[in-house]
Amino acid sequence: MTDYEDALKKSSLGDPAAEALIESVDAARVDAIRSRLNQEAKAELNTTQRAEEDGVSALAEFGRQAATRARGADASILRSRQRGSALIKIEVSPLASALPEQYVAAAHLVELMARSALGDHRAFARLYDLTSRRIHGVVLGVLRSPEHAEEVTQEVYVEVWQQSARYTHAKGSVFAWIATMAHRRAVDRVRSVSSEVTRDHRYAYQSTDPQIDRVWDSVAQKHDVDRVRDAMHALTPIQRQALTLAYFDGMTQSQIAELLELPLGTVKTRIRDALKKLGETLGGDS
Amino acid sequence: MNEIHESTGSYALDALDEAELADFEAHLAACANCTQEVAEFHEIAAELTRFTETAPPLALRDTVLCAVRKTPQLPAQQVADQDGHATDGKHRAANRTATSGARHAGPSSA
Repeated sequence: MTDYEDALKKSSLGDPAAEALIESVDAARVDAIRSRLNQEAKAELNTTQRAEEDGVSALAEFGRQAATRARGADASILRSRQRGSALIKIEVSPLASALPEQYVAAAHLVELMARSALGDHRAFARLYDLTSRRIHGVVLGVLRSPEHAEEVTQEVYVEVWQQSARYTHAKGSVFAWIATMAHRRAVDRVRSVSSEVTRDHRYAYQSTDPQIDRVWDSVAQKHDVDRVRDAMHALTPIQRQALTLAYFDGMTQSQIAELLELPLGTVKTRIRDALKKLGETLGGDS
Repeated sequence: MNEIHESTGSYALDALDEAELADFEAHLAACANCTQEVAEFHEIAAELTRFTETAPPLALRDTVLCAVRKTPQLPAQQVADQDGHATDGKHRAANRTATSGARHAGPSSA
């Protein structure tokens, strides 16, 4: 299909008409599974919302207890802990906006990791409490099965405990260090457990289907996800698609190339460009 | 072999197969630019976890904290491990060596 190949070349130069052509071909390619997965995603949403409600009430209690302990501490830390949802906000990376409380939160995770490295179980429990929603979330997002996800989440935190003395600032933020381990383990588990043929590519169409984007928009309710969601929307649909196939579907670049009928080099570049663009958008915020 | 640099994104998202992974990790050991880019991409990927936040079952917390009480901790990194790599806990191949169990130092140095 020479028009398609031609469009590939033009789209790498940023030609919007070419990108639209590629998008329509790719969308047609995955269209066969779209409506079935839509229904499954809606069912999953209900389950996730119930889990979130349980999680939110547990976190709110943790927040109240933390606020009590923090009485007398710096006023800005106290304010952020009293807001239950801010417990999520404090999982920060160097990419986060330069708000003082987020820098404090990042330092707090470093301190908890350092204490854990000395065998401090209470510190480790706090580290778990502050990070486990997002960590378990990504593991579950990749694995889909709650049973497998719980096993892998446990393995991740055991590994974090084992390796805690090996965390250094040179390795990046504490949260990203844990998230990297978690994602790797989840993907390894997916590849060892299920055949690619039978795996639902629920996220395959996410970026090119506005209806499915709305599903995830309603799941992700916290303020802090707005920044990342906006950054995702600054990508092109095919960039979002490549990212979600790789990150949330756990596909290899070769599998993505095969699914979308693209050259491997195109997939590599698309993923790399998407990450670079996200970095620019997220890093450039104030 | 310029195209190997293009794999930084796929590597950071765990989208390389075993053969590609071995090649790329070998490349990373010698390429500061790619190492830096991968580190940045890992931070970005961590932001993606905001989309799928899900509270784990409350029982999992107890299970994890119990498991951890039975788990010895590894000592801090040497400058280079026995393979001569300066492992950072992120390189899978080196990590398998490091966590093979043969390097437990007994009770943690608390």
